[in-house]
Amino acid sequence: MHLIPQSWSHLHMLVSVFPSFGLVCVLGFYVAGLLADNIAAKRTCLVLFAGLGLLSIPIYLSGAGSMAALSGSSRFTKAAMDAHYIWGVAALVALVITGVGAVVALALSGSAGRASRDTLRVVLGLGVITLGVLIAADGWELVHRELQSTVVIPDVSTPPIWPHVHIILNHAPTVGWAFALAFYVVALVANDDLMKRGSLILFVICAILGVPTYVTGTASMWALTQPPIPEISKAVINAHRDMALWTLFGLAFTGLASWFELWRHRHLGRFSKLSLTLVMVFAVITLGIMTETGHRGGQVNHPEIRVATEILPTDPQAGISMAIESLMTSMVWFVPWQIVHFFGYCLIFGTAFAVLLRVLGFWKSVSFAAVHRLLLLGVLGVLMNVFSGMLMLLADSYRYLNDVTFGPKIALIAIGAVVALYFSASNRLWNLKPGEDAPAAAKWVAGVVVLAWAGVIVCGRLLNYL
Amino acid sequence: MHGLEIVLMAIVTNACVLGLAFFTVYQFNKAVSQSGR
Repeated sequence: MHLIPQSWSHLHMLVSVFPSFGLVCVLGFYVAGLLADNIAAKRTCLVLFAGLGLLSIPIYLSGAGSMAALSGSSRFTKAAMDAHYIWGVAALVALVITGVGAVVALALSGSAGRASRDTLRVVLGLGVITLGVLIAADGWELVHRELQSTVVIPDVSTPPIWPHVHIILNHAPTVGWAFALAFYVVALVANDDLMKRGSLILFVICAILGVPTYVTGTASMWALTQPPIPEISKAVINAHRDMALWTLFGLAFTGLASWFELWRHRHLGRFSKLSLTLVMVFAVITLGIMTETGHRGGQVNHPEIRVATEILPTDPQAGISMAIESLMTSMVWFVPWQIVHFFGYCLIFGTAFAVLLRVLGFWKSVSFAAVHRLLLLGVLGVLMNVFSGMLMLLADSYRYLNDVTFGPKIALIAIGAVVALYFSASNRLWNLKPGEDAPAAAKWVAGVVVLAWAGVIVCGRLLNYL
Repeated sequence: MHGLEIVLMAIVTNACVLGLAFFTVYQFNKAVSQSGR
């Protein structure tokens, strides 16, 4: 476990992912804090903005150190390094300005914790601008030249868009998790219910994003090993894939425990200490597994971070993923889980349609709180389908991932699940009494959710036929 | 024989998964029933 960076490049890779994805999480929480006028959420976000600004120091130093160390390597072109350096410095300057703005807002807020609305809005604007510059400064093209490959062999190659999406997407659940955990700790210490709900929602979103991350990872394996690319080892990828499978379980446990607590809180009006502790335990364990997964993922295509004492896997047939693959090729195992998958869809679509009927006004005599109970069935359906879907994918992943409808199916799963969180988060919807009209936003959301899940079913059924 | 194996596995797997799911729903609904909503 060489998780402690032993080179500038390794340190740079680790710290430089935090500002971009971290800023998305902090901005999301900050906007929620501003809308709800929650002092604890606003102050926590201002502290995190300042922390991200401070992070610019190790990012700059490790970046400069990496440039010096790798300038002689044929893997890295000078033009690409110079372009990344210029945009990187611009992004770090923007990050520092946002951090200074956050410190000023904190200082102005004084002991009462209330900064002026204009000051807070300036920090929000600075954060959004910084995020834009950070995206422009992305340095993936420096080392991921395989993503620019134009060589396509019919029935052999997997589109390079999959690994491209994977290297972007995998940071969302990982960095997002670290920030969700930070918010959660503050929420528990401050005993702030809004922050607790916000952190639990962030855990659920990260768990949902874990699904497309895992799927794009499996596709990346095919894209990078068939046809083979020198320097990239299937055995190293399999070691990463095995850990990713455990991460998926960790995300599922924490995401489910978080959602159950959100659901229970709606009905009981209070949080259970035991459940909150359970979420914390799951989240910390998952963070540990995720860290090792990320480290193993970094070993796939970053020879510059490997150390001489590190022994890399060499057997491409070893590991739990390969064992599941070989088991699931048997119809005795595949068909039962396929039937579970169909039952899961019945639960998901039935729940989404029931909510749509109430929100559109066809079941007006029912309060939304009554319909809210049904959401549990839909969530269990999602759990059943993520597990059975993962098993079915491993049965013949190359064929599924190269099917034209598989990508849209996975994207629609993420959209359908994330948007459906509105039903658990909206106070206005929760307070909808029998006979009352739902807000227009809820009608749109319910429509999107039903269409997304209908699309998932259609895309899934069309696999192999287009 | 292979067909019978598939049918038996399908029944056992789905009975376990759905049984667990509906037990969870029952327990959670019981827990929130006291709220009256």
